[in-house]
Amino acid sequence: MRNEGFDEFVAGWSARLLRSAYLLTGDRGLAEDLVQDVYERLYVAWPRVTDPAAYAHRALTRHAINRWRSRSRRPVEAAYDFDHDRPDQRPDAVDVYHERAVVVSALRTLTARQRAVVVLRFFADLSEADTAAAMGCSVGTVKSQTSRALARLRTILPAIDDTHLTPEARS
Amino acid sequence: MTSDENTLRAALAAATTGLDPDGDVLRRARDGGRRRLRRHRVQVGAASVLTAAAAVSGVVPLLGGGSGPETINPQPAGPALSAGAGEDCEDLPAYGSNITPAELPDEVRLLWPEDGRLEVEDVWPRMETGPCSGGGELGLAGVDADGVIERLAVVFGPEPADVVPAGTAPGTLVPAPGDLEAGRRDFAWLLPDGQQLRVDADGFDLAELEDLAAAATLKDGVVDLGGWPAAMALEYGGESEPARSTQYGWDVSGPQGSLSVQTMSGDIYGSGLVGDRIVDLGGRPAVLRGPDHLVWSPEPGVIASLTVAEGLDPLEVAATVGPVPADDARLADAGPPEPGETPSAPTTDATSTPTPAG
Repeated sequence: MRNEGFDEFVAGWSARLLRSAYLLTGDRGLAEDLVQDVYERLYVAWPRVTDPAAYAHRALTRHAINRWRSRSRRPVEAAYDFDHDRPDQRPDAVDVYHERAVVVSALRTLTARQRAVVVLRFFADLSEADTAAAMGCSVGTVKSQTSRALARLRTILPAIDDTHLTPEARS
Repeated sequence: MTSDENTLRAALAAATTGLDPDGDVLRRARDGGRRRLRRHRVQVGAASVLTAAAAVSGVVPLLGGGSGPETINPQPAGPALSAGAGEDCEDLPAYGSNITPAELPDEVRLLWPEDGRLEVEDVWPRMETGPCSGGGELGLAGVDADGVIERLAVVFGPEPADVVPAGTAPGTLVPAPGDLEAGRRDFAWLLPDGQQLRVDADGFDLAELEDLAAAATLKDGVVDLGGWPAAMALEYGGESEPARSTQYGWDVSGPQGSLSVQTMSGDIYGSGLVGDRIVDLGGRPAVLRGPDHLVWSPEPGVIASLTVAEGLDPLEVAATVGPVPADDARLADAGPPEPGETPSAPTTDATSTPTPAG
């Protein structure tokens, strides 16, 4: 069968990819569009793809950066609003919404590549090498972008600033 | 792993709590995939018919039987790669933008041949400007008899000290924060002028890296490791490239493979890992990872990275990759730049690209 295993991949990876896409775009609607687009590409390429997760992360990242760059020239349609978020009926919905807004706003201050590095390294838990492959850059670029992104986030999210700790305490 | 990284992981996870896909995600993925597959097959079929018809009429050669189609209206050459580099380098506002294939330097607009083996689905030419920077990455590799990398060191800098605490004696190694893969060491140290160098190394002990820190100097602003590479029997070493304030990028992908080309100040070893193999590509070293991924430098200051699908040989494909005209028919689907694209909105952070208004 041409696409044997595709359904299982979608079932197993949808939540993770949607959440990564959300962090990359800051908008649930955009994230769903992005993941859908990745799935369609993956479906076409499926028989030739040896590592679907790597393919999906690569496509997701590149198209998120691409889309972000395009949209950055159209402020009216700018990403990072919450208009597409679905109503959350949970008791702690207000806290969750607030926390989400803080984190997404912080990510918004990063460049597209810095944001991608943060999402891939610290949310998708990819190694530096896999992150580099997904972004189409060197491990060195991942390292430098990570360093800059963390430096920026420390100024915006004080909770993650451990620079006051000794090196031993940080580890 | 540092505590701030753990906190960041927790924050990212919390920010996505409750974000679950709709119940019909599988149906939409499958239906959308089938639709796209049908379109894809129609397009491939139409392209084959057109190519065959053109070949019959003598317009284009088939299957690599020539240097490609003649350009009816020759495009002006893209910017020279050497422009604005080295001594001519000037700091520019930090900006990133999509550009047209014609705006890429010819050395960056590379593609595999139109021989039917690899299709082109997406192309993404881009340009980023920023402060003048360069000479920032120097890779060194030691290999075994089969060319497999056993030891690898990539030195970054000079850069402002952001890892080494002020007051630390020059040459004193300080562990850099981060969660490295097993076996890798990441240290930073200060130069006498207060700037910082950093090394990401695999296969070296602490004493060897202390020797590296002691040996490293700056010559014309570029790292010089003196006799350390020879003492460590590192057969392969990169060269620092001139400083640049404009970087070009070019990503091409399709079902059978993807190609990423970038102007970089680093070398191919910065893309390597211990276990990768250094191979010969037309007389130049290239880094081969697994059966499908190859990194090489087609021109000084340009790094190309190719990943191919199962059944294709990345070395064989890479050997055929070369410059293509901006009006190559396969690039026709590239998104055109939008009007009004000017670097008029520099950000406060020189490393940033503009952020969309919220």
